[in-house]
Amino acid sequence: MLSGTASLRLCAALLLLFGWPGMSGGTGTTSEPDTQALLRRADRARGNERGVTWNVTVTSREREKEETLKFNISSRGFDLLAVYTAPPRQRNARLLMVNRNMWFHRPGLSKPVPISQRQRLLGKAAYGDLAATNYAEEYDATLLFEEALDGEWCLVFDLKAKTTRATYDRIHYWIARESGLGLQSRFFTLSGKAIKVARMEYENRILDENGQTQPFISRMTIRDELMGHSVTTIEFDSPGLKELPDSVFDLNLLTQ
Amino acid sequence: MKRRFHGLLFVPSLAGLLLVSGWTGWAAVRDVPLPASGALSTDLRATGFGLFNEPAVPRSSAVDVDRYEGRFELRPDFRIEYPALRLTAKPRLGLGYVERYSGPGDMYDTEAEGYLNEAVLRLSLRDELFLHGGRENLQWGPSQLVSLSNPFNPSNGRDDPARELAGMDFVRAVWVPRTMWALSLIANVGEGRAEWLDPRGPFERIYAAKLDYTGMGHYASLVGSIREKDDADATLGGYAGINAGEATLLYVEGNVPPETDRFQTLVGGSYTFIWSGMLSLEYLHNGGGARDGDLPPLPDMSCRECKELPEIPEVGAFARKNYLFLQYYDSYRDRTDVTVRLTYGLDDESGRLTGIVWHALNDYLSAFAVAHVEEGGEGAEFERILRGSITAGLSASY
Repeated sequence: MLSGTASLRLCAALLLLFGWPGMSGGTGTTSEPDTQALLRRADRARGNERGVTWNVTVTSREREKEETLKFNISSRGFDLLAVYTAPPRQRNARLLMVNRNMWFHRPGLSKPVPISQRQRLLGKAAYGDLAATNYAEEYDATLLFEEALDGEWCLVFDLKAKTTRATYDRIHYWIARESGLGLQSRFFTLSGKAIKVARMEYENRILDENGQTQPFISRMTIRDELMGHSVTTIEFDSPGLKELPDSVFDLNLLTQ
Repeated sequence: MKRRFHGLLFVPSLAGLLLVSGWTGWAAVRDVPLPASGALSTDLRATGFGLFNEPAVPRSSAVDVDRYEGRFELRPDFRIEYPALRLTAKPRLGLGYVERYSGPGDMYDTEAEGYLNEAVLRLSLRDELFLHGGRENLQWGPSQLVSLSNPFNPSNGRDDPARELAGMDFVRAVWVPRTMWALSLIANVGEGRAEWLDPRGPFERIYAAKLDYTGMGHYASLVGSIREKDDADATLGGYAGINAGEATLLYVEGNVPPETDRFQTLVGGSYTFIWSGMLSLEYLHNGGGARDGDLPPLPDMSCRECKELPEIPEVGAFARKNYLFLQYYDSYRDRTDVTVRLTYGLDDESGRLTGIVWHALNDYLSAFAVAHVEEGGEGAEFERILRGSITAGLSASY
């Protein structure tokens, strides 16, 4: 028979579920300065609030050696599920990023293991580079200067992480004045040393919530600033808007 | 009566979950148009390895210790997927040769076996509600050493990556009302292929409720479980973790059984270096473990002439009270993974060092090697049965 202690424990667990205020899911909104609006606009071209799926190919080239990984990505807001599709030895490995918590699982590994955002994906790409950016929420931005980048006039911002959960401590971010797209990021260590620089291209097109076509990230090219030898490209193909349920990003359902 | 009561408790809990989740009946499932044929995906894997053990027991020991082992396993994974239905099956075909060093059995053995290690039918009743039934390896928690919050199988098999963990038979329902929350009701209804797993005796059903919370950069889970036996062995377990920076993870995992002084806790953390190597450090406190004294001696085969074999004392994993665990993992040029694990018993100062290397020869073929070295001495936990072992093998994927 179920003991009184056991009953209490189960009741407490259920009460916690049904009585917890976070279950209501309500969020407040505050007005944001123009800089924040610019960052939010740039963020929108690198993710989607309701859900987007795409295929990603990551290629690393270092001293004439080339390695390639391929994924199917399901992304919603800043949550992400990446399922490895190639090479065969990595197939069906999975990366889950939910609320900035990251878990990795591969066939043969008994359970998902937690990993940090610094964990490298391939070459100079971190797992965090696959996810949509949330610079508007995670960084304080200061305008440094304006300059032309490949013929496009850009506002260059100095981004400093507001919280420890951000992937990088400090970023210089080039946002095109006309299109509002983030064209280049330079990432720094805490001591101020540049780690790598990433160039973004936006050849993909998706329909936004209003039925308007908007540019969407198609390629990120990451160059190592410390060693200077490696180049890593992340190609984003076949983006499709798709409403993704919460269960896609649930750890209990990751391994089956 | 008590057995029936526990089993019946799971059924109304499941019905309550369906009700609360807003499930409107089987019609909702049937409304999802099933394609004429489901999408079938297949992963073919094959693994072959050779194992050499260096025993610490004498040849006359009653404990069954293998000296050499060779094994080949075909490990195909199949998945058929419909919009509301998913069937996964992991049948296995194994061929093995074992040469024993000690124990009552034959000194040589060959075996060929086919079995189903995992096979699960998953039904999506709604976008947020799932029913699973079948055989699976159910694991969770952030700990690298042992999953203390898992009442079904706390061993995560990380020390022996050449072998798969045995699947057990489960029925479970998972409800995900928000990204932040999930509730699972789990019934472990059969031991499946893990008949050797529990040193406490014959298999007993276990029923569990698992509540998961995922916050921004942190998470926590509570696991309440009841073992189906006369004295209602209810245990509360759980784990929690936090991202303490872009490179640092901190976590805790544990359980509190009815005899609360036998609680188990693990506190750990990991740090990812700028070159991507990951260092993990964990401390395990096992309330039920022995701080002092020798572990019971292993019987000899002096009773070869007897009609009954001597009883071998059951000593589960982590028989002592306090342990430190250190692990370093790194991946070189994205082709070679190296893991070094050290488990050290603070009470009897014995330990085990494990090195694991995986090297991708190409996109399809990997070579691996696993080496264990144990150091302990008389009465200590490690080096009680083995001094060490070496495993080397190949793994092919297609």
